[in-house]
Amino acid sequence: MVSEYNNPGSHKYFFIIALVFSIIVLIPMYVLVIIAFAVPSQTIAAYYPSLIPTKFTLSNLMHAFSGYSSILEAAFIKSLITATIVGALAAFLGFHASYGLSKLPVRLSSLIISVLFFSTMIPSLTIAIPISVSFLKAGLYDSALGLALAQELVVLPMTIFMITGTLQSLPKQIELQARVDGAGFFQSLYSVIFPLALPGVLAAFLLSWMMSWDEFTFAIILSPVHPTLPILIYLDSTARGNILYASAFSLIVTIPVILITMALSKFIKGNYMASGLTG
Amino acid sequence: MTVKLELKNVTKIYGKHKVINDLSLTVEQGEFFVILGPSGTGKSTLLKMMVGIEQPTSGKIFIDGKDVTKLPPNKRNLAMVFQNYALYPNMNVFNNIAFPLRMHHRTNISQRVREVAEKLNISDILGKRVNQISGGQQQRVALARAMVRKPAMFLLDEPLSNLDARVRFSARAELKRIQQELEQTFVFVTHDQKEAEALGDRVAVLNKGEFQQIAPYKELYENPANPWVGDFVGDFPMNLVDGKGFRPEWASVGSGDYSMVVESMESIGDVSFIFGSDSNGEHIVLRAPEKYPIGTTVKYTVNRFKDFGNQP
Repeated sequence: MVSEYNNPGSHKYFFIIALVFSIIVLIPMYVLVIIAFAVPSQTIAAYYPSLIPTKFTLSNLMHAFSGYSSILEAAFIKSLITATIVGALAAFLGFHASYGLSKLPVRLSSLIISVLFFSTMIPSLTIAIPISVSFLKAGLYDSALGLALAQELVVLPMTIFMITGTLQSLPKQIELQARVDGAGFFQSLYSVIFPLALPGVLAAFLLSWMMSWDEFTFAIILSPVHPTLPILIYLDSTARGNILYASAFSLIVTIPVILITMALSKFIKGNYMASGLTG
Repeated sequence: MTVKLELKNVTKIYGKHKVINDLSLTVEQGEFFVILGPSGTGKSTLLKMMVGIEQPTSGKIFIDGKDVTKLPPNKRNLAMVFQNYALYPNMNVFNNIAFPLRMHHRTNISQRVREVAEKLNISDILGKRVNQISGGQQQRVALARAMVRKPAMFLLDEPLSNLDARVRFSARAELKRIQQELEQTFVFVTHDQKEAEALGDRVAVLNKGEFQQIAPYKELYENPANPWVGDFVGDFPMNLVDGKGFRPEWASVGSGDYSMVVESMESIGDVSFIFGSDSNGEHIVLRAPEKYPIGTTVKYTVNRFKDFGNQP
């Protein structure tokens, strides 16, 4: 696939845009890092905090972790479980729903997908309260599974939209060929279509995972007793006023996202599946 | 001869559009059967009904005497090669060829794959990804995948049309050789009459969902069933004069009762064809031993006619 980015001229512009975006993203990260590692007298305790601190220490982090490790660990594990359930469920449900939608005429499937997005138009806060009532009855309140199910509401339409696009771009003959070659319906679905849709499914998994990882509204209402990481950070930086702890925890929130993105990006950007097919 | 494939009064309707209209057909065991027709005439739909991807609106399909009309593709024991080869892009060449064997729970998969690869001269690319090989190689891989399972018959949907002219020529010869070696039934769909001529034991000419004629190519050319077939088959449309048709080589140029005005000319090797119109405005193509300047009137004699009677 020859994209315009292979052209050296436009490559330059792409680089500039990427640089600007990187700066926008990296400045807050930088502030986070210096608060976490510089001595407090140069950052949060200073009247005029320095952007370029000169004295560094690990004691901020040590304090945050030592005084707090069990709560932090619990929050981390809860966030991890919740996000993984959300991602896995989104990939599983999204793939099957999208397969069905990809068989419909494009006009009809686009209509159904837009209807799915209606659910995301309602503010989370409004539905979080009735959901929490139902969850209290069902015993899902304050559980990772309950929170994951609520967050799934938000991510599923986007997931289906993404995977349907991937499936619609696959040549129809591949599936027909699998059937002629002797594959039953489910065999062709899982041994031929699923591997081909994998980049889309992984992208959907990643996106859902990240949306859940820093999701706030449902988390604070549906899981306030044993909070997830974003709630813990919020409580530290506002209610408890402990910005040092909040910065340390924020770094912990960021690292898994970077790792998982790096791990999956190879599959997602790869157009390894696009060639070998014409028409 | 035993009948391999039989279509009985097959009709396919999409919405209000009748794509296939009451077709009946028998294909013999071991026959290379070509379905020839212009694009958009229902060729692929017909093939899809044979393989089981589409269901006929009415009519029945028999393979080896068994009614398969309602059977899904994986129960029909057929192999198909699509125009774009539909190789599984997530698998390498070996796994592509092995796929039908795995789906049918066969044993000795590796040995069988190597055997077929040997026959098609693709043993050296078994480890490659399908996007790393050339179009000609992709076509062989698709054919190998079709052959590997020893199916009841082969269905091929314009499998040569994506190849370069040179490769296509050798691939065509090879396809014919393989079909003769396997002694298997091939149903081959194409819009290219050179392929139909070179490959087909019999050729069915399809237009607007109906068979116009089913015969060996030579007979289609010499003795078309109707003026449409005469027009469609051949390098040049059959000339029509007074409701009778003739091929360029059936006329001799120089003298005679007929005449036309030369409008253009084309030389293929040492043969020249002259194009013109007669006094009724009919387009005429003649084979001429020498060149004629544009605008001259040429007299010719027709030595042989195909009489269409009162057919339209």
